Amino acid sequence: MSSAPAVIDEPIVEDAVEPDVPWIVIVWNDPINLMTYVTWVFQKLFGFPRAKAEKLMMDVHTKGKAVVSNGPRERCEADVAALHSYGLWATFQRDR
Amino acid sequence: MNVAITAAGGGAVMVDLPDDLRDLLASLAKQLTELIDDPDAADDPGMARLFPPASVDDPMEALGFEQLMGDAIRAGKRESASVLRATAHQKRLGPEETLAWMRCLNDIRLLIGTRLDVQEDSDFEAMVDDPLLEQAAIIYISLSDLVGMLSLAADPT
Repeated sequence: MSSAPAVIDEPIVEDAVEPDVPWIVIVWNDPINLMTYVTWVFQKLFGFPRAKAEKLMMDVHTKGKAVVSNGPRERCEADVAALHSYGLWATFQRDR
Repeated sequence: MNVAITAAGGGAVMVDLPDDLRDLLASLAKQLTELIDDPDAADDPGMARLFPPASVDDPMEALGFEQLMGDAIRAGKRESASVLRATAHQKRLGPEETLAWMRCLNDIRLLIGTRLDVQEDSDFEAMVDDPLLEQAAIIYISLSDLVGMLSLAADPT
């Protein structure tokens, strides 16, 4: 903080009541998508090594869901759109 | 029926499929596009599976996402179907064409699988024995084989 005496243009912070919590993208298990395909999509979209993609896929399969990415809202929206383009069941939400 | 898909390097694949199966894939891709463009199909459970809500518990968030991204997602699915139709009889698929095949064939699987109410423990033999489900079940199983083979043959890196 500076000791400047006066603030002339104080920025209006609309999100003041909601701190900038990062967002997360969740992929949900479904009975149709193949395990090999889901692993492939995780490798393709996120550049994950095969082992990490397989672990995430198994998390989705056995636990019902897995967080596959996180970050600013716009990034998560784009990731969900990409996952929907590949037919995966994905949602995004604030990471609380 | 001879079906084989092998890696061809750089994300490309070689597809060895009978002509009648290729015709079927092109026809299914056409039907998918027609369904995506049909405003009356919005209530179809298969369509709902292709375009799921982007929020679990916030309908406004899901609506906002649909307004922001819905057109682009629909355009992408149309484009994949269009590429599949144009390349249905090619022996070699380039990386982008392979991607389009995978996305489109998987979309069709989602559509048919939802209509068949496929579950983790579904009994496909029983479906194939059911005259009402037989045709859809056989197509679904073929598409599963193809998407599985493409996922193994295509290099995602």
